[in-house]
Amino acid sequence: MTDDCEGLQARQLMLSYGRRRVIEDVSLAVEPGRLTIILGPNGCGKSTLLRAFAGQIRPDAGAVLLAGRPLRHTGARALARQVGFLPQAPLAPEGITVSALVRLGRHPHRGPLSAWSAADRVACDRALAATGMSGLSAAPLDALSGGQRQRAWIAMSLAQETPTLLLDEPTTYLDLAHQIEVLETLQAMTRQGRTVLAVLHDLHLAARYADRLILLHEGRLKAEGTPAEVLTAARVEDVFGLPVRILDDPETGRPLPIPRRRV
Amino acid sequence: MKRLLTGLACLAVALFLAIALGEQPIPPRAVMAALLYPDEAPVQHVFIVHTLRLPRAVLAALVGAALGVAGTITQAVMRNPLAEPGLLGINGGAALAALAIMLWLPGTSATLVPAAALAGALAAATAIYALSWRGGIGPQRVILIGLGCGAFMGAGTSFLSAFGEVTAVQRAMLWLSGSFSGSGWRAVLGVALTLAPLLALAWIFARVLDLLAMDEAVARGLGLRVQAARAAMVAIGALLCGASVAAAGPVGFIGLMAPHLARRITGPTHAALIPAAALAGALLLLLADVAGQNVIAPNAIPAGIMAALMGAPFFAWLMWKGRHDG
Repeated sequence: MTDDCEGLQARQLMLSYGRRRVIEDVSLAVEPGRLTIILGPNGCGKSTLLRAFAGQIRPDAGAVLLAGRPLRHTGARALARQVGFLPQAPLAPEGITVSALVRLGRHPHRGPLSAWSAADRVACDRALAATGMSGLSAAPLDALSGGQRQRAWIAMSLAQETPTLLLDEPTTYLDLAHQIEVLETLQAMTRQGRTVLAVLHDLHLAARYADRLILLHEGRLKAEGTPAEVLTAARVEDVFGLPVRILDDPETGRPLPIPRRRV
Repeated sequence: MKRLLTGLACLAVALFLAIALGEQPIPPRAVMAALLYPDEAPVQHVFIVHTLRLPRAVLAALVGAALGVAGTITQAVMRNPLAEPGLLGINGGAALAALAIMLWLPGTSATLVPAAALAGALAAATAIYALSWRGGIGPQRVILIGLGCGAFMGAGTSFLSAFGEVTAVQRAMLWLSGSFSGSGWRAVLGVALTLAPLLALAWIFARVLDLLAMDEAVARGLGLRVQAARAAMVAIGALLCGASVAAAGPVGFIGLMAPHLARRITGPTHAALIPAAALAGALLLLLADVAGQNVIAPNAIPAGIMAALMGAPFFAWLMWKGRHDG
């Protein structure tokens, strides 16, 4: 791992949540232009690690680097032009419309007094189109279904036009069809050269869509690599405490963990 | 734009009403004459319009606008539609300081009360902010501590008035109910010069308010330094509200009601909401003052009391209707 790496890196990262140490000595590099998914059991520090990559929490020790520079040396607005972050189930004021939400994504690109520019409009239109939300841009967010609402939030992040996008459980509360829709949107973003890092719960969907997986266990990095490299039966059992068989997904050839029947 | 013009037209009508109605009503044509051709109009009308009613009406509108905007800011920063500037301790601090001055330093009150009120308001706001600080402020904590401090200052105010000298307490009570009686152009000018830059700042920072009203993590992810922005916006709100209290005494309810009314028309985006809330606040307080002067004339009800008397049922109806409309 070198310092002149272009993307996000964690170097000997230590993170706490309150007084509790959550991430213990994690070093890894997020591969640029790929969809990377962070996996691990509940409470293993997935979301905390993601928030540190977004510059939302300060490390106890170690550092998060962006293009070789520690995040804490990057200004808030400058960072927001490089890295977008979507928390889990975010809150928005009542009555806000999809287009008003998406326009907020342009904030880091606008000065305090600058008017709404053509570039801002193009970015918003493109973000709405990429998420299939163009027809709903005038709708209030509260009136949308869970899947549409999530896509509206992703559209806001897309309008931010950051080379890197971080998402915390973007498929929570969505049914299977909407989960797949969201993951396909993320996959399409990497094809346009963006780096996407997301926390996910579902091993099967993660294996199916991710280019790279990061597996955490009790605050430590357990494994990192392609889904086939990371999701072995022994490791899944070790990390999740659940014996599984790994099949080949008949659609994609990706690993498909199936829990064994308990005797 | 059309809505803005409608709002301004309503405000103009309300101003006209405020000038025409009163203990001595003036017919509309005479009002126009006194406004447009003061040299030819009867001296008595000119005096009533220009010296008594117009400055008072303008002051009520200004204070109403400031309270509407202060309420909008508070609701955005606290991320709570039920928050109102009183939570920042402004009214409680102002009331306590003004009452103390009126009771303990009788005679100097006319000039000193507004200054004491402003100082009390800002001191209370600062104290609440400081007490809520724990490596940054969280809306929930500010609301709880604001409620606590409000109750404490309310108790202090009651204690002072219970044991103070009766006539002084009575005068203080009139001031505490929020009144515009006896306001002249000098007061209007002072208030306008204080409020105008603050109102402009609030509007310039409309996008910051949009972000503060969102999830904190989202706002930070969009490059906002949340704590600094919160402190700056609370300061603007506290100053707006403090200046209003200094001008007219503590006027409640407008800061809660005006943003709600405005939000129904413009939605939650602050670039539109701020001017709308200013207009709504101006309109509400002006109408309250007009009504207060006329319903039981020749006695006058202070605008602050009238605002609550008219506003509370209207507000309840609005909320009830909103719930039943879905």
